[in-house]
Amino acid sequence: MTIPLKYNARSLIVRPVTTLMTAGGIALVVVVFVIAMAMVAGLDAAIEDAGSPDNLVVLRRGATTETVSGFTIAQFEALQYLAAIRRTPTGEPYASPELPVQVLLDRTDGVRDNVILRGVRPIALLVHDKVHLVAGRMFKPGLGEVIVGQGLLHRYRHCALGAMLPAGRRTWKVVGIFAAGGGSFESEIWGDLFQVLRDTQRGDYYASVRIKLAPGADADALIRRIADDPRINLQAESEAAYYKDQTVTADRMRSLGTVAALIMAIGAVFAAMNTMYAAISARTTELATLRALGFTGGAVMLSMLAESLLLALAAGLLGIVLALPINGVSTTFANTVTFSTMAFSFRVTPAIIGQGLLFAALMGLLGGWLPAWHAMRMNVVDALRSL
Amino acid sequence: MQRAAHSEGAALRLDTPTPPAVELDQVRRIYRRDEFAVHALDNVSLTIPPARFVAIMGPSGSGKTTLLNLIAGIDHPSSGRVAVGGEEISSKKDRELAAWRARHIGLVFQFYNLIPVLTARENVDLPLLLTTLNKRDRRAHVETALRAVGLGDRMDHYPRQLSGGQEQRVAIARAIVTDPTIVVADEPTGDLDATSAEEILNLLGELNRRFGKTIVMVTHDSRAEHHVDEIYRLDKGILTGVEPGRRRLA
Repeated sequence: MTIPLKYNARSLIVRPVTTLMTAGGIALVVVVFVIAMAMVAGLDAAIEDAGSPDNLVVLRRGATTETVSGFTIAQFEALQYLAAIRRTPTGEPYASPELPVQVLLDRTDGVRDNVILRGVRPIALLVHDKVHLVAGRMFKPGLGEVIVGQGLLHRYRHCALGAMLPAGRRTWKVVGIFAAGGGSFESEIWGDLFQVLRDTQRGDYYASVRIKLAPGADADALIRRIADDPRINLQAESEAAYYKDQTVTADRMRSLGTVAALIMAIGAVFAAMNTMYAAISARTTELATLRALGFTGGAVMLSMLAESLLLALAAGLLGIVLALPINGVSTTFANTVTFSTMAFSFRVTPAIIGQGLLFAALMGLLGGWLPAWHAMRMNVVDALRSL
Repeated sequence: MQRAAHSEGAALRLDTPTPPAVELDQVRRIYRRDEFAVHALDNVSLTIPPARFVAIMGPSGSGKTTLLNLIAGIDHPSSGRVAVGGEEISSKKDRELAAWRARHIGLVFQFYNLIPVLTARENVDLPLLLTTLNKRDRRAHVETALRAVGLGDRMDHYPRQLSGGQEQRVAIARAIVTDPTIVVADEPTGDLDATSAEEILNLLGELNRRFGKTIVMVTHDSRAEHHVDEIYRLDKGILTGVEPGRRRLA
């Protein structure tokens, strides 16, 4: 039979100072952990949410991102009428040639950031089915109009509906605001492809084509065709796979956050260990009495481990409560893959809460293990004499 | 004198089919302190019949608590044999001894050794957690034990809310709640004023008379001589004599 848990809970309460100090240390680690993971989850979501399951990204062979890709209009012309590509009722293919370029925008705080200006055709709104206008209208080609992702609103100057936005070689008129389900497109400006092409003076090259598969089409066969057809000679992959490769930045942040939390956790483990040693030292006679009454050394060890775990879980909950307000807070991040700024929101998911509690529990168990083991090994006769 | 004690126990064994409550046969307990060997008990043999209230008396360092710890199964003898209620315990392993103590031994300490964060009721319930009783039966046992020691109205008090005498009563309730074979008490009056000490001795005596509990008590308190059946005297680890207590003489 185990020693009742209320013994441990009340023992923690009667030592409020040491309990709170240790709990504070563990809570702080959990706060750092949850915030780091919420940022990673937000970044992951912003990047991965940009894709659609039935879309392919077509790039130059060997290119890993749109930024380093480029191909001729002739290649696009050969590609867009492939049978596996979905068509509108009027026969227009769901093939969106695109040219994302970096332009410098003024933030409301005066700092300048690189933001993506994506040259597209109106068909882009059909191909990117997560993108939809939330205010205004779609730009009209050739008129120097743009639509702005809602992630840029209030963060950058001249992005409001109706504003004149200086970007690149011209000043654009903002005629629409769009959303993209929280994805990275919300951190972009979309304008007419041919005007962007002219402004960049790169010649007649597109960076990428987004295509939507016709219902029932074989994606792998289309990917092979795009690669093998000598007129096309490009590489294609699903948007899911493409954006998974783009999460390298988020992966780096995940590693960094985990390392920072682990380093802090080592300190918290020692704090928990110190607290439990102090607790056991102060309660040597109590524990010896429990042993004398018939509780085994294992029951005492389990009880001390439970106490440490209880402390750590309470601290973990506190840490999660403290970190929770970060959920939904939006910020920007310099994406080293696209060399542009991306807006995203912190996401404290149920999985992160679970991981935070598990992390706290691990700290408690590690910190409590040695003291609990010593409590189990105590000599009852000597401990009873220690009054 | 040791032999006499042993013979008396043997004679009693013939009179009754029940085994002696406690039987020690040539028990030694040697502690190692650095390079020194401390002979806490040296060749002690004694027999305590069932349902007796006995005191173990002697000067400090005479081995009284060591003897009590051996009887309670908290300590192991260096040599010799210890049997309680006819069951030899000297060869039991720690884990077996823990289970055995839970069933057969009630412990009373000088400083009560109550768990300060648990109420009187919860403290008394502790030994019952090691039994198979359900919660309702445990509760009934706890209340019976606390009423038996006169604390029916203090069940939900924490130790800090009780006087020293009341704390020791809770400790006695905790010792008897499992209906153990024997109750061992280490200086149960050592931390109490004269009035409380007398009350505790009366209570132990009453438990012995009413419920037939065997009680082995280590004490310095000369008042105890009036309450016990026998007094075992120890000096420097040697059993120097067994005397009848004044209760028996009366």
